Amino acid sequence: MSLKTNSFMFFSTLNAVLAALGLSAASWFAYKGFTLIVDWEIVSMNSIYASMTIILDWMSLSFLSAVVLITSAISAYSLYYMKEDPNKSRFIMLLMLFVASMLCLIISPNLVSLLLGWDGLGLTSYALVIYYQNESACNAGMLTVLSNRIGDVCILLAIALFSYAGSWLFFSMDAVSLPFIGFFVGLAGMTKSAQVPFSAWLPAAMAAPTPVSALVHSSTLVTAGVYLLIRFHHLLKDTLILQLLLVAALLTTVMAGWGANFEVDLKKIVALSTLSQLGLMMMTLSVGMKTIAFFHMISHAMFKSTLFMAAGVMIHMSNGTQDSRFMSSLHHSSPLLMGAFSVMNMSLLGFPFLSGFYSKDLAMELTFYALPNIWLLALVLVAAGLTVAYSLRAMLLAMTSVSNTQSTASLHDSDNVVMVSTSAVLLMGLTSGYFFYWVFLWSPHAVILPSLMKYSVLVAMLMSGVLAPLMLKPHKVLGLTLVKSLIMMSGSSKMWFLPFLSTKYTTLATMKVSAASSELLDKGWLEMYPPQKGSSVFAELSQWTKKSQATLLVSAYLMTSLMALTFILLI
Amino acid sequence: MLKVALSLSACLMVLSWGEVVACLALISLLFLLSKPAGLETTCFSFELDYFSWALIALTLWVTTASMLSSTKVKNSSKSSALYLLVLVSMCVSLCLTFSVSSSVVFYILFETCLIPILVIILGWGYQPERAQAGLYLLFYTMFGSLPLLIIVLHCSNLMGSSYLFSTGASMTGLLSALCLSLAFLIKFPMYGAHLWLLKAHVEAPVAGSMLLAGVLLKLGGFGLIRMFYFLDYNFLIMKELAASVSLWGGLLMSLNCLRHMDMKVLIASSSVVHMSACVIALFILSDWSVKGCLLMMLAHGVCSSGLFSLANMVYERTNSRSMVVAKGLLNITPTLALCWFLMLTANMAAPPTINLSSEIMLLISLVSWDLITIGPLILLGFFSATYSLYLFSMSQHGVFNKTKSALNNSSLLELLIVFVHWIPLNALILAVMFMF
Repeated sequence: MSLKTNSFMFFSTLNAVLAALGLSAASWFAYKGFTLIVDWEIVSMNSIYASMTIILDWMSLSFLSAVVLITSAISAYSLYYMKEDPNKSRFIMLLMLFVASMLCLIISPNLVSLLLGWDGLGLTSYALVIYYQNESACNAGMLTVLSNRIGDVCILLAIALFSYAGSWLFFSMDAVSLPFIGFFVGLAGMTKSAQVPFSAWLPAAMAAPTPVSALVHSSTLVTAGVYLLIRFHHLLKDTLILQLLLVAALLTTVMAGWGANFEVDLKKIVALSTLSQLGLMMMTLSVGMKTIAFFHMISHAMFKSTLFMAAGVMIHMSNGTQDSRFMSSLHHSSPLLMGAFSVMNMSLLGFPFLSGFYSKDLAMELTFYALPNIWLLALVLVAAGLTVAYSLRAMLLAMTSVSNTQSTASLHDSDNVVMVSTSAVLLMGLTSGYFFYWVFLWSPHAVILPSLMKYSVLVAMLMSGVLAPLMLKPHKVLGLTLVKSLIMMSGSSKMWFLPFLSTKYTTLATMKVSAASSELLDKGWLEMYPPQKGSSVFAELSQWTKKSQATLLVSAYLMTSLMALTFILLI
Repeated sequence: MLKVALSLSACLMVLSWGEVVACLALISLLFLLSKPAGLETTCFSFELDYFSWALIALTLWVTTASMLSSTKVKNSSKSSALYLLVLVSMCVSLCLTFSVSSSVVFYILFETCLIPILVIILGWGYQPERAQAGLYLLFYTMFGSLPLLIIVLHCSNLMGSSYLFSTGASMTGLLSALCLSLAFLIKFPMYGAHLWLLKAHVEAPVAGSMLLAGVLLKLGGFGLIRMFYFLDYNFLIMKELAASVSLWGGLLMSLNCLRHMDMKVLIASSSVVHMSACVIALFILSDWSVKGCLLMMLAHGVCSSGLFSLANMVYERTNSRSMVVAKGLLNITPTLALCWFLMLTANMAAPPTINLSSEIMLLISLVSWDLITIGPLILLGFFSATYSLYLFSMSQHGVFNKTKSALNNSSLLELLIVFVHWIPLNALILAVMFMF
């Protein structure tokens, strides 16, 4: 074993140990109802002080242990996935820096020290997305990091506005007096968690190597926004910001769920499902149930990382193509892996007693309980149905018995490292919902709903479950003409044309403004007037003086004065 | 101060690269240890407060780094001793400018600093266009400084002494405010008077660029702070005017950065963006804004000097400043690419750098001055990150040109230079209060 492979195993073990420690600490903290805040003052000036703050309570500790557990599995998995990569050590270092930034973010309830993790996540994720040296990775990285940068700027401005309070320790505050602060923090959370106007980067970030996607999309980058808003929730309560967030979250869920049903790229299907689940978390959060949102975030992290790890192996098996139409009958060749894949998909759609069942069902029903608006309720129902549909579709695509694979695919049930790492997360995915429900949610949630509402979710899910296989060939089912179905398909698979909003038109507008500024001002007025015009005017003036000395005028003047002088002298 | 001046002139005597660098490093260490408690008279009419102390420390630091990074001049050029002489004399004149306490002498020294940089650009520049760059540099700065001379003489006549720190503000009115600040605004440079900087940077050799961006621009901020002693706090419309021109100008400059293909122009334009924030902060003139401005000047001085030395390392390898030629360097020189990434993230104010803390301080002072600045500030913050990342992604990432495959990776000296820049940026965050 070389040093490079050792480093993967080293970090895997380290993270596993951390996860065990974190989980036991979290249980103990939850049992004792204990919160530990460490505050280290760094700058103190004119009654404002900035500090590095660390918070340890059941929430941060359990999230932390979930993150390091997944990291442990993924760094072992990377050993398999990045086997033939020339820059292994760069990869693992970046990955660990990425996780370290996430940990900094989790334990910080202070807007200033939060930046360490927040900006760090943006930058390391950029370095990971552009890991492969091609143009599409370059563009995807730029889209990712700039979308995240909007969030960074929002946090910076929130810090600036927050300075009136004298401290940035938002955890210990009761209310904020400037509504702008909540707005900026909400916006920051939305960009990090890819809510509706900023959704385009999340599927684009799939350009990263699959282990990174597994980490980014399960527990780290995208959940940072949700986590920030969970922590900030007590300052946002009963404001307009949460209502706006609710609408954005619902739109995100429906858009992503719809898009996932028409996408063919396997990684993008899983990415869009992440997006729809993020919308669900934001929705739960914005109707006021932060603990439930957190619960769903953890259980989602578990099953989504397994899904991505399985997807990575599937991509390797089909010679690097990500097109799910070339993957089929994989359950014959790799039953263990596909077992994990389908169990986690079932968990995603909320199959009874898997972890998704505990969190998602609770989130849905409590949302029904809290939401007064029938239109929003209808959207929630649609979203629930779509979740079932895309989960089933992903399973169907991978496991139909008709073989669509390429003629030279190397199908196998992959090596031990993958199996061990996948099954570790799988185990957690199976049990985490149950565990979390009993250990961390002390008060039981009694949901009292009229039977119509109670069963509507189930009915929606069952109906879409039946419809999902039919939707594999939608133009035949719906009886559309080719053109119409093409329009519908392209709109759906392009996320309702959202990427154009954050790439093409924004870039065009920016470049036009900068062209105007550079042509008109830097190379125009500013260059032409003071320096160029000044020098030409002076050159012209001096030309006149020179001319006046060279012409007849001067010599005539000299001659006349000379003659006058002689004349005077003569007299 | 006398000790510093004497030992610097000892450097002049030696004129040998290694000794001078070692001597300068030693001086800067000793200097850092002797932080003045308030306004301290050091000797004769030299006085130091935290502002001038920090800027002198910056000067010594950047000069040392610039000597380290111009080894190419040392090894290839015949007139390397002369080059060293110019650098040391520049360092001496800058240190004196920052510490003198008489406004007339300050004016003379302020103008003196122009001569060495002009000599560097004209003498060791790369292309024939350097003549034009020198003219721009000279005439832009001279244009502002004549009114300054008049007003400085008038002031000292009016008050009976040319002492800089006299508290009785004597000048009122727009014209005197304009005369007092114009020279420094051009030096800064404020948007609108920035063309000389871009040209000078493109033509200057590496040490020239590093000193220009690292220290010379800071003369503008320093001068403004000193001259505000003479002004009644009533600048009339000057404050709002300078603030809005700088804010929108900074935004336009950051957009312009996205259209450049030349690394040095891009880095130079990014200095204009950073300095525009400093201009506004200085005109606001609150405690936070002045300290934030000082911190921004320090951070930007170190960071941009580091970026210029990195650009020079690329130039020495590819003989081009173009980002397209440099494309894909990550695959050939991975260590240098890491250095680029670290310096550029510092440039876009990522934590934990003093760039971030200065940006936060400036944001706080601007937002508490007027909430309406929020809109442009959002765009400014966003685009200043955009051009940094654009520079990184264009020059480092991607498929490289096969003609470059024989390039070598970084040498130890180059890594030393980068870390001389990177360490203070990141270490000082723990000791921000140390600077004030």
